[in-house]
Amino acid sequence: MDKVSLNDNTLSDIVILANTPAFMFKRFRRDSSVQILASRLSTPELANCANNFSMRQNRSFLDKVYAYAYLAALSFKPASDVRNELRHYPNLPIEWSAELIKLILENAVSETYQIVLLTPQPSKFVGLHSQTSSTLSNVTYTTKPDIKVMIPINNHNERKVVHLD
Amino acid sequence: MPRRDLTRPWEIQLELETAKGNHIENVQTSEPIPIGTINGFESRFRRLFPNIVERTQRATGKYNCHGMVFASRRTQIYEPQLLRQILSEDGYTKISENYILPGDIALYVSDSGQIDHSAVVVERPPAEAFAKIPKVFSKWGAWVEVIHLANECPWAQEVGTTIEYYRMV
Repeated sequence: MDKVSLNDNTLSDIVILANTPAFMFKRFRRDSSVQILASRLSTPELANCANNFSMRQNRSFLDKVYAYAYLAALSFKPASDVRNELRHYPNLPIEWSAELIKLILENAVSETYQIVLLTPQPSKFVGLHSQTSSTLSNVTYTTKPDIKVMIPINNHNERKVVHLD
Repeated sequence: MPRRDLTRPWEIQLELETAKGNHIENVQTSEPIPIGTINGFESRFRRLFPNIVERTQRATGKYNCHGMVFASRRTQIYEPQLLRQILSEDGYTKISENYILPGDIALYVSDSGQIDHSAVVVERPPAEAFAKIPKVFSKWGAWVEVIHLANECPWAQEVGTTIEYYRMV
């Protein structure tokens, strides 16, 4: 497993300042060290580390911060993988774990897409024919061929549109 | 009687209801934060917000900002969507910023409509002020209660956040 150094001070500040799991989750996801964590470690590794840090005997405050970081990193992984992994850890002994897991699953990467075919209509553009003339004239432009877009379907409001060539 | 989930013995949930008698999920925890961690946090945040006044002295996670405003400092209300239910079922009315009075409640609403933070107004903005920014006090996470201008806190600095004011009339 690659060693990833987390932004201890920034993440500790977020945990102290967090008044709700939603606020903490949003801020953790924005942190670059959490994003690097997500890119370097696999889903089982992240879930295992989150569990280990939360289960530590005489757990320190920093252990708790790390457990949250590994949990937040899971939200960058495919939703089905995360759901499968978290089945092994139904009761993480850490504050707000149930709410965080809900947020992770809502935000995890969707693997289900709705494919929409867009057929652009020929557009009419009304504009000045030339800069020196005040006469308006209709100018018709040709359009591109059909555009296929993939819209991820998940529980989250965020919509990521992926254009296909 | 406080409720205790046997799978989570470190947490206690209080009987907390709206005026209409509907239960509000809440949690009381007492996990301490090491003094060294708190000291580091304080020095960083005092630099970021030099005008704040700490109203209480001891950092505690027993209650959060919403618990301070809506549950008398006894517990944390951690589900933001429950706050809309409280506003509706307890009979709060939205107030224009031109008519703010001490005792009104300030809610920090994100661009997605979620209530991220809450505070209590302690001083109305001067009548002649162009920007109607009152002085409020609020609980900053597991730290202390802080007196600050409504726009001088981490939640107000989130892009897209607006502040709404409410009063129980």
